[in-house]
Amino acid sequence: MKQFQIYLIDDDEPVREAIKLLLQTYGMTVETFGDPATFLAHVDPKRPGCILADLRMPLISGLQMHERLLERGIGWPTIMITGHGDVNACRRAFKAGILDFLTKPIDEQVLLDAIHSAFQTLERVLEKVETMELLRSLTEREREVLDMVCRGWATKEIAVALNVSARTIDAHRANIADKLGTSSVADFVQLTSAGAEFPRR
Amino acid sequence: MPNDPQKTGLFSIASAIARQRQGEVRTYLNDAYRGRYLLGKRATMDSPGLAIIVQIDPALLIEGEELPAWAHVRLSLDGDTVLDHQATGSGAAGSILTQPYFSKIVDSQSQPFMVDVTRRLSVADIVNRPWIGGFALASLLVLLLLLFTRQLKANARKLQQDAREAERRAHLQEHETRLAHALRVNALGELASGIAHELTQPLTALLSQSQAALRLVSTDSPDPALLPKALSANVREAKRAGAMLKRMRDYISKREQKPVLADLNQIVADIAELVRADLEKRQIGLVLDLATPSPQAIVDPIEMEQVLHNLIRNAADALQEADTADRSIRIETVMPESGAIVRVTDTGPGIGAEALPRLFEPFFTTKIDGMGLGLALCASLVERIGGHIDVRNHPTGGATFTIALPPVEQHLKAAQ
Repeated sequence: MKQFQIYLIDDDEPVREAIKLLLQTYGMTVETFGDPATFLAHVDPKRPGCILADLRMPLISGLQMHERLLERGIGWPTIMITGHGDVNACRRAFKAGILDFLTKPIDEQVLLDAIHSAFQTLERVLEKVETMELLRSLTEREREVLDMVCRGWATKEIAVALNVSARTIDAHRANIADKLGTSSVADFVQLTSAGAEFPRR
Repeated sequence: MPNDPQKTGLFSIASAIARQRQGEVRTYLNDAYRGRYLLGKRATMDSPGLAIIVQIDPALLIEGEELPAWAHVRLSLDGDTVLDHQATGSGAAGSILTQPYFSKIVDSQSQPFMVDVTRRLSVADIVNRPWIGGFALASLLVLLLLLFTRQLKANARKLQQDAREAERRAHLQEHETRLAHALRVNALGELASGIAHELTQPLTALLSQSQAALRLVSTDSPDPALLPKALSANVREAKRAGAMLKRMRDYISKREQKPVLADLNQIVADIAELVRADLEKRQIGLVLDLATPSPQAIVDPIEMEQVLHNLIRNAADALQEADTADRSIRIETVMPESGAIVRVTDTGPGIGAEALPRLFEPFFTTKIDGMGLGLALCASLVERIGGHIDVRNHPTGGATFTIALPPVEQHLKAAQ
């Protein structure tokens, strides 16, 4: 499985250091922050990672931090950790799109499972972002043609529908295959459905 | 015991309390409680079946020094006598005249007692007058001798009275200490979730650090620096949890009140540690503004913590309902020219004009489920060590409680 950066935000220094050390013994790269404001100031959208944050911190709570990241288009998987088994906070967290909710003290295996699932989610998210960018590189007409191809229409049918020559459609299809890096209709279908699914929020 | 008259009495009172309004305090007399009276109040909204009944011995309400020895005090409610305190001074026995002196109904909704104070005039009161000079010398000599022996007897009686007084005072103080303890234990319940959170932090660090250490020792070539680092972090965290538990245990320990020379900054820091998580949860800021060097005073540190805790709790309750953006509590220690001062200020709505002068009265409360004992006890604990507690509304909103403590030297002198 692909490994990513881990961002750990907790206002308690010993807790930060302990979790960091544990994850480092698994060969993970952990960057720690003492408060959400520092993390928000340093976060680099080009260095995606999984976020591990304490729910209750002074000034900005873990949930508020998550919302501010989303406003900036950073939808990386976030795991909330908390010292309380607070059901309401837990419900709010899940509603806000938090991936997982762990109660302190956190057992090693529980933490690892959550992080692995966060890595998988992040991988999917990044793939979708990539797909989105690929689809966005198509012109409007190409996108139109692609949708028809995906619906199973033949070149001639598309040509009639769009009132252009079949040769023009062929030229579009060649461009599409070039841009998306594949000429298989099955791949087209997969890409467009993945792209349509994203962004969910 | 179905025939226990006290139990039967309590039942009848309890059924009367059930008909009281929420928050109302009423006085009850019962034959089973001769020489006592009972204050009754319905418990909180959450537990409508419960009542708070306080049994009061009115004899303990009389301040020995404030009451003149000649006074005969009678306390009654609708004609039923609750207390009949005979004059203790000279002439109580051989009185020939009775003269009513004072009679008034106490202006209190909850305890509308009739107070009668009577002065009995005696022979001694009359013969002591200057016009005795008209008597023959011989008679005067005899009289002087007589008076001298009387004086001796009175002195002996006074000594006995002082001893009784001291005993009663010690008894009261013991009650106060017990009440202080009970209120501390009660208050700790509110802090429990905050303290649990505080303990969770070191436990989290301990668990992750230990699991990391286990993984380190199981690898072939562990980094030699990492293992000692993990272990010493564990020692630190275990001590941190231990210190937290000690603070909590000290706070609720049942112990004699023991004034010692203490740093007020340390006391403020200790109580701040106990309440921090709870305030954080309620999104209330806590600002400490401590003088350097730390002001010192002769106090019982735990009881001083309790006084501060009480003020912090009240402030937090006021802030909870406040509609202000800045919700914070500020604790200051100040070293004036003499003595020491601790101030607790909040950014809440302040205290209502009608409540302000009555704030430290026992059983006075503005909270629906309050007993009205917190601030009264605070005042009592502070006054016990020669200090003074005061409250005023802040010009910019919110209330400031000021605890002024006497200089250390003064206390040492008083103790000698």
